[in-house]
Amino acid sequence: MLQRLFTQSRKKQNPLLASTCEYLGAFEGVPRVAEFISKDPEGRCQTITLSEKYSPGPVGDVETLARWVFTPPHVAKPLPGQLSDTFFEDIESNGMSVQRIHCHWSRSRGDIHHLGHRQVENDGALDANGIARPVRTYLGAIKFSARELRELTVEAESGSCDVRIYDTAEDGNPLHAEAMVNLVADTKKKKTAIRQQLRVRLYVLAERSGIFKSPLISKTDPHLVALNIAVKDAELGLQ
Amino acid sequence: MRELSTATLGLNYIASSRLGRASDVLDDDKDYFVGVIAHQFHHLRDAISKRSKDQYTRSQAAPPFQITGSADVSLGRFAEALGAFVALENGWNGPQSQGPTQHAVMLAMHSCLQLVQAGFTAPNPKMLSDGTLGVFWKSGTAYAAIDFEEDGEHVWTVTDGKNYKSGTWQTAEVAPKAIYSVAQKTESITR
Repeated sequence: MLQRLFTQSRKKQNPLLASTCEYLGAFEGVPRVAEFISKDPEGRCQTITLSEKYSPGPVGDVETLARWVFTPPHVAKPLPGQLSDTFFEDIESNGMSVQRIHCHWSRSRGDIHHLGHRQVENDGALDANGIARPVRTYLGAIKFSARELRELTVEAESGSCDVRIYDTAEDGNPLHAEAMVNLVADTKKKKTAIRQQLRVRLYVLAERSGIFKSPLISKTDPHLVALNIAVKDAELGLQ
Repeated sequence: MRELSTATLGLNYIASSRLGRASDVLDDDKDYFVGVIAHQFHHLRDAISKRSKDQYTRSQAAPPFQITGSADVSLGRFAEALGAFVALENGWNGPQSQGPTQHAVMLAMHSCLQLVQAGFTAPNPKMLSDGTLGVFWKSGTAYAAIDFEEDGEHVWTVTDGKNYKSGTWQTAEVAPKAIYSVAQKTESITR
């Protein structure tokens, strides 16, 4: 059973804000992060659920989040290889999808991995634009806390960053959330620089976490080994 | 294309403006361009290796760099990756993703060779969804990355897992020492 992890009332006290958040909850266009930043410049929709129908509530700082790892395209594309800072580039473009871990990892990992494997079921099929989705393999998940993400900073002389995490629950995936970043810099070069700085900081979080492998993946799977980060839960499932 | 195949190889070629202009005369055929990359990378690598050996035999001091056997393999892998990146079509990682421009590929090749020439371990290649090419080195919690910008002013960030340093680098300048210390600890792609 899902627990309400955030105690703030869901009652809409600010109709304009509520309307904005409702709009963002239904938004499916691109570029996604740019639209969120534009409509919610201060990140206030983080405190109001975007998906009343499916979400257990806004993402709290104390929550642990899991980021699925697939290959390709998250690893050093297009060759199978090591995890790099590119793993997190979605955070400023389309939104970085994460899964909220609603109870102890030992009890939630089954659901996390099951959903991860389900993500690749439609790979190879054509998307709405007629482009074939890249075929991927689900390897496992990386974990970090919502607080770690929200407290990320970049070098002050380069600019600033503000990481938000929105509860973008979906039908069939009520624990889906997205991390997005608002990057502020006064020149294009500085913005490029802080993009990289943020990605590297996120990479360090991934490195500290290690990858909690799917039980359906062998610990000697060449794609998993090639990631070159610590493998957790290696004793589970396929050896 | 004919201009490239008959161009002078070696360090002078790398330093010359011809490399920057080369992309202007390249055929639009991607397969052909991939072949050019492999061909030119191979020759440029050999030229550097030969030049460094020549310098070593003449010098009393230990050379600051050599293209070792493993670096040679890694550079070959890097060239292979560049070729594979070029083969990607727009949309390879979602609707807004793009492949690299030919200029970006040539720039990456040039920059990588400059780094190896300066004694850096051959790096691992990477590419962002907008087609920006780059390299990285990693060893435990230490990580260094350079993204090759088409204006020639590349951005870099290095970390030991706790502290971070960043800046910009132009290939005509000395490569950042902060990256060198991380790069030398790392393993580059060996598969």
